This record gives sequence, structure tokens and C-alpha cells, in this order.
Amino acid sequence: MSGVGGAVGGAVVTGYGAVTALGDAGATWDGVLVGRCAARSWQDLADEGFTATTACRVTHVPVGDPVRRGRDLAGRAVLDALASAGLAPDFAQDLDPSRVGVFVGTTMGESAGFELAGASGVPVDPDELSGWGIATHVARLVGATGTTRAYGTACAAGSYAIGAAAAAVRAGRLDVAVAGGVEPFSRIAMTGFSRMRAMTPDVCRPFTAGRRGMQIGEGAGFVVVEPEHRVALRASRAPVRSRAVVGPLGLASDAHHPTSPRPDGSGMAAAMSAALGRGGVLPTAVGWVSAHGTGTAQSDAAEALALRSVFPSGVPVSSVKGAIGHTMGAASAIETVLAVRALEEGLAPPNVNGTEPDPGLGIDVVVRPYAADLRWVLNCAYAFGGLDSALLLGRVA
Amino acid sequence: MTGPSSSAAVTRLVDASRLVASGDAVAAWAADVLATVWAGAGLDALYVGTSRGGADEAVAFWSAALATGPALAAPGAFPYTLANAAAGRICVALDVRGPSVTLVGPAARAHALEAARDDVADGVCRRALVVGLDPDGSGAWRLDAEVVSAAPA
Repeated sequence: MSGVGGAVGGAVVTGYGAVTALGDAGATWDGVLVGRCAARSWQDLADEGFTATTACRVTHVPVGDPVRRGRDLAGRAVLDALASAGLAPDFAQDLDPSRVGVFVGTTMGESAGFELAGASGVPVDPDELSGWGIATHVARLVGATGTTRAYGTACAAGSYAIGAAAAAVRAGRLDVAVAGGVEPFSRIAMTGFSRMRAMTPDVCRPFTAGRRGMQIGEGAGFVVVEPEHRVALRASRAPVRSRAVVGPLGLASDAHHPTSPRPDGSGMAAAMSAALGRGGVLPTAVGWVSAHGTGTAQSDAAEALALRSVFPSGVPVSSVKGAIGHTMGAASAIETVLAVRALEEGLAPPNVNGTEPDPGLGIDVVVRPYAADLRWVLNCAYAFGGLDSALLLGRVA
Repeated sequence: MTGPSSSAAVTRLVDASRLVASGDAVAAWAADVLATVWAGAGLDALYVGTSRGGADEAVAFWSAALATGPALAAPGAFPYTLANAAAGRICVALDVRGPSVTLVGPAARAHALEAARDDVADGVCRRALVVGLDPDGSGAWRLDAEVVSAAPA
């Protein structure tokens, strides 16, 4: 593989969009910087008998057909991403559409569809409800007929999609890729995590001594990925710029347990090391780690051990899940959007609800925004099934 | 320079009615089948393609949760509502420590094979197991597997 920032084969983000409980990408960034937490209690969940009723749900995108909520969230984020890339909504029709690809990650896809089937007994079409249905919706939206992929890689799915898209662009298999993750609010997840005692009774506090669990969110994050040389050509005709370099996606498997990470964090560390090693980037060149940081005792502790292992000299770390909850399949894609913004601004965002880090973790948690000479950022995400991922992102030289 | 090579495919079928509907039955069956062929084979990556993985468990989980009320839902089946549940189980059985990728959709098996070949060609992994796992439409679950290698398999 060529060097991640090299003149030949480099993949860059030219546009991004997000939908979270804090708003669009800009509102989310601004909210995280001031430590805003979008969690609130929901009466409908209380009425339905849920024990946990606090969540980070999106209110600025109206719920139309609940079974198409994922498509609605993804569509909004995609259109924002295209606009910021200087591309029309159906831009692929102006190119060779077979050279435009779509990569989507999600945990469950249209969860409301599975819930409806569970309530009614009506058979499901998994290809309509899973990430595949959402991916083909996005492909139609942008007019793409090239590679379309749907990643069912749970809470790391967004990074899987973006990493695969960048690899395809770097290798010359595609000219443009639209990639990201989406997760509509899921009552199945709300119930499952609650009954596994993984959810906090109040708010999510990643990496703090008082952390009591995760919080469910919903949302979407998408980026436009293009080869560097194409951006230079487009820049003469449209307001477009390279916003960040997309480096390698490091992947590893815990091979340990269906839901619990390896307690020593070795799988997480392997993913981080794979991304850095394949990118030819030293740990000391990483200025900020966008951590998975779910706020659960076990996962945060394992991630801290992994960070100490890979970054023995320390590295600033924060998680946005205190602000927008755990948006599962969308999480790492939204975090990629925020990481790109951090690289653009030269500003590392703080750990929302986590201003008193657990000293026992031994990591350098960012408690307030700080200006930094960010050259490289590592965006980490892990998932049930022992999935470990770390996506390397870099400032445009 | 030659591209990645594939081993001979292995196909197994099991009557779906033999899989106890406990959420992890398909994952366990797949892991057991694959372990008899490839345990200790030095696999460093897994690519699974599935259309139905997790779907039936998600419906069953929610149906049961409605019967008891969400506050009393049994949590054990929840992890198996995910499409990548089988991949997690297979990684444990075969001690796969590299990429574990699950693709979904009607052509997910082909997508998984393509992803594995791309990643082997890009040097991400050297010896990847590719698995297709879905009902075959006649009341059986079908498993197809092959190994994609950087060198001839």
C-alpha cells in the first residue's frame, strides 16, 4: 500500500455531514466543545415499561415512517456531506456512476422494522431492513451504481465502511465514495443493553471514576472520500478542498467473548498498532485519540490499558459519547466527522460529562478543548463479537 | 505477480429445525463445522457474508420482550440479534485475531469474497477465511467457506 499521505493513491475527505441529538455536524461540534449533553428522559419509553428511559434521540429530523428512520437519518447526513464537498445530490450522474461507490455501516439497520415484525408476526425481508436496504437507498440518492457495501459490524460499523471506502479509492477501484454509518433509535438495543446492565441510570461519563454505563443515541455520519488528484482537478471548477487524509483502518479480533472485550485491551491495542504500522505513523505523531469510551467500567478500563500500551508516552484522549450517547453503528462515523473537524480546526474536543477522569486508568483525558498541532488522529471503535478498529486520519499537508 | 488464490470451497447444510432457537445455535453450528476443517490453519482474518444473520433473533427477541415487558426481557439472546454474532463465535473457535468483517445483503457472500481478496492484495491479511451463512430456502441453513491466501492455498 502506498503511503497514506503520498501524492499517489492518497484518499481524502472532501465533505462531511452528521445528524445527532445535538443537531447537524456543526451543531454537534459546537455542542461538544461547550460540554453539552443531549440526554433526556422520554415519556414514551416510560409509558412502554422501559426501565431505562434516558436517551439521546434526534428531534430535529421528524419521524416519518419509523421503518424508514435509518434512511431518513442517513439521507440527511449524506446530503450535508455532498454539500460540503461541493457536489450536487445526484452528482454521480455527472460522472461515470459505476466509479462511484457507497459504503454503509449499521448495527441493526431499520430496528423499527424488526420491532414491528416482533409485534405483528409479519415476516421480515432482512435485505430491506438491514444496512443493505439503507445502502441501496443512499446509492439511489446519489446516483451511484458502483461498489455498494453494507457492513453489519455492530458498534464499529461506521469505521469499517469508511476504511473500506478509502481503501477502494486509494487502490483506484473507485473515483468517489460516499461512506458512513447510521443507527435509528432502537428499542431492541435499549432493552438489550438495559437488561445486560450496561446502561447508566443518569448520564454517560466516559473514563470517570463515577462511570455507570452507556447511553443509547441515534444518528448518522457520512463523508465523501476522493483521491487527492481528483480534488485538485475539481478545485478549478468548484469550491472544494481536501479536509483530511484518510489513513489505514486497523482491524483486530479479540477472539474472546460474544460481548466482553479482552480485559487486557490487547485486541484494541492490536487494531491501533495495525493502523499506525500500515500508515507508517509513529505513536508520538498522534495528537489526539477519539476514543470509543462508552462509559462502562469494563470497556473503558480495557481501552485505557490498550492506550497505555500503544502510547507509552501518553496521548490526549476523549470520547463524545457523554454528549450524544452511543449511536452504535453510526458512532464511529460521527466520530470520524468530528475528528476531521478537529484536524481542520487544530482543536481537540473535550470528554463531555467526564471532567473528573478516573486516575486509576492512567490516561490523559481531555477535559476542556485545547488548541493543538494535530497532525494525526486515531479514531477507535469496538463492538460485540470482539471487533476492534482504529481509523487513522491526518491533517492535509 | 499473481493475485490472491482461493482454496476449494467447503459446503455444509443443516436442517434448520435441528438448530434450537436459542439465538446462538446457528453461530455455534457454523463455528463447529469450520473448526473441524480449519482449526490450527493459521487463519488471520474472517469475512462473513449473510443476509439473514441476526434478523430472526431480532424479531424473536422483541416478540419475547413484548410478552414480558421490556423491563423483564431475557438478555441472553440480545447479542445474537447482530449480524456479526456468528463471526464472533467463529473467531473464538479458530482463534482468528485479525480483521473480522461481516457484510450483509442478498449478495453478501460475494461481497465478503471480494473484500477478502482486496484485503489480501492490499496486505491487510495473508490467509482469510470467507464464509457465506444463510438459509437455503428449503428449510436448511447453508454454510459455504473457502480460504483466500496471498500464496497458493
